[in-house]
Amino acid sequence: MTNEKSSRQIADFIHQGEAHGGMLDAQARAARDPDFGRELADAQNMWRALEEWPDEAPSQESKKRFLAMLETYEQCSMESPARLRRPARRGGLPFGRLLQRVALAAALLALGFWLGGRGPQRPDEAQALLRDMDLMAQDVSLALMRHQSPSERLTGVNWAYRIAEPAPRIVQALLHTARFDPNINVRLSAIEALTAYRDMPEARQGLIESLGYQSSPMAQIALIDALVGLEEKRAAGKLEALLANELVNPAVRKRAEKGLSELQ
Amino acid sequence: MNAFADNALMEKVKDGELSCMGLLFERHHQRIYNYFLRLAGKREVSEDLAQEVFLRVLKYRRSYRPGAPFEYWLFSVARNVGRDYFNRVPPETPMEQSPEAAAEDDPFEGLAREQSLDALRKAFGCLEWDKREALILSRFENMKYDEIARLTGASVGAVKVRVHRALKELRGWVTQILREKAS
Repeated sequence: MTNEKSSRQIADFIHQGEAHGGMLDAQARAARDPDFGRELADAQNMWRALEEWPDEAPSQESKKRFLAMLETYEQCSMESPARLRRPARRGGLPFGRLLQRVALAAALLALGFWLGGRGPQRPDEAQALLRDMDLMAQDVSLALMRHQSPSERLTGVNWAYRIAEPAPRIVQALLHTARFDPNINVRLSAIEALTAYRDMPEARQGLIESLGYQSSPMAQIALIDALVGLEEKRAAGKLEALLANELVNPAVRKRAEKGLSELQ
Repeated sequence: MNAFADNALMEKVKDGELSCMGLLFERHHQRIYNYFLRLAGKREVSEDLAQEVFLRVLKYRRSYRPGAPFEYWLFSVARNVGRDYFNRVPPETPMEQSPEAAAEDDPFEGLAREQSLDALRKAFGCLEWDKREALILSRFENMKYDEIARLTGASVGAVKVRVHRALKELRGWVTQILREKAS
């Protein structure tokens, strides 16, 4: 068994021996101590063997993906401050207007609650305001999910959490984002947002079907976790199909096996 | 400072010249991808994680300190991205104890390069996370032990011990994998 001092000496020898003058010390010790000498030679051989392990080039697709993302990120960072400050002068972009409307509705809602607490009860009015808020949040969410910039689309997905009663168009937009958004983070967030709609059959069914659209292991695992969390037994068939596919990533396979056993 | 040095480019990115990020990506993408590829062993996952690193660099560009070594900062981001991912999807669990290689064995003797590489890749996946990482940073990223220590929060001595033990265990795993293949 090599002690820590020997380990440190060997590590210095193989990586930085010359720079630290440790090479001669280690060589001298190796000459005196055959066990140490053998350890040193073994470590050196393995270190050299690693040299044979070449770097791989990432796919061209990943470069394209990043550059496209950078371009939209750049455009949005140039546009958004002005857009948010002066929406009307710039032609009233939907996002800016929607934010204003939501802020106004929030103020009205707060006022409504304040008045409601002091004056006669008007539950119908408060309900109407809540419905308005909900509709506006849906508009904001949809507008942002259609945005070019991944960060804006992410914000759009996050807006979906504020919607108490999502319309089918929101569920459809989230499902489309979860399946086809080019950015993995946006896709993961959409999957997470859909799991919040556990009482909506179309969201549950859509999550099951989304498994067939994903090739990214991260997204596949997120979907499996979501479906297991929802105790969605109808997903068993899709999980079995994943397991039957030899090209599936081993980590995904493991998670699918575990998920399947939990669902059955 | 060289206007095209990594630090200078990153400072420009921080000041809003986001197009400079393209050059930084060009320079470092492959390294970050290979860092994850050796850690995780999966191409698709490594591509996703490498993208995430550069996205975070953009997102947190304002936290970059002018003059700070860019590579060090980039690898700090990469470590965080890796940690977040592997907390959700743990890397394949290593065996409790690595097999000892017989003293006289040269595991690679008489093997074709592809066979050796295949065994090496598989053996690498059997190492514990911190050993794998220490070996990647020292051997493939050519980082000095004190740099690895700063990056990982370990002492320099601990990093050296980790590197040596990783090599020793790697040798044991390679020997066992090749033996199993031969039998």
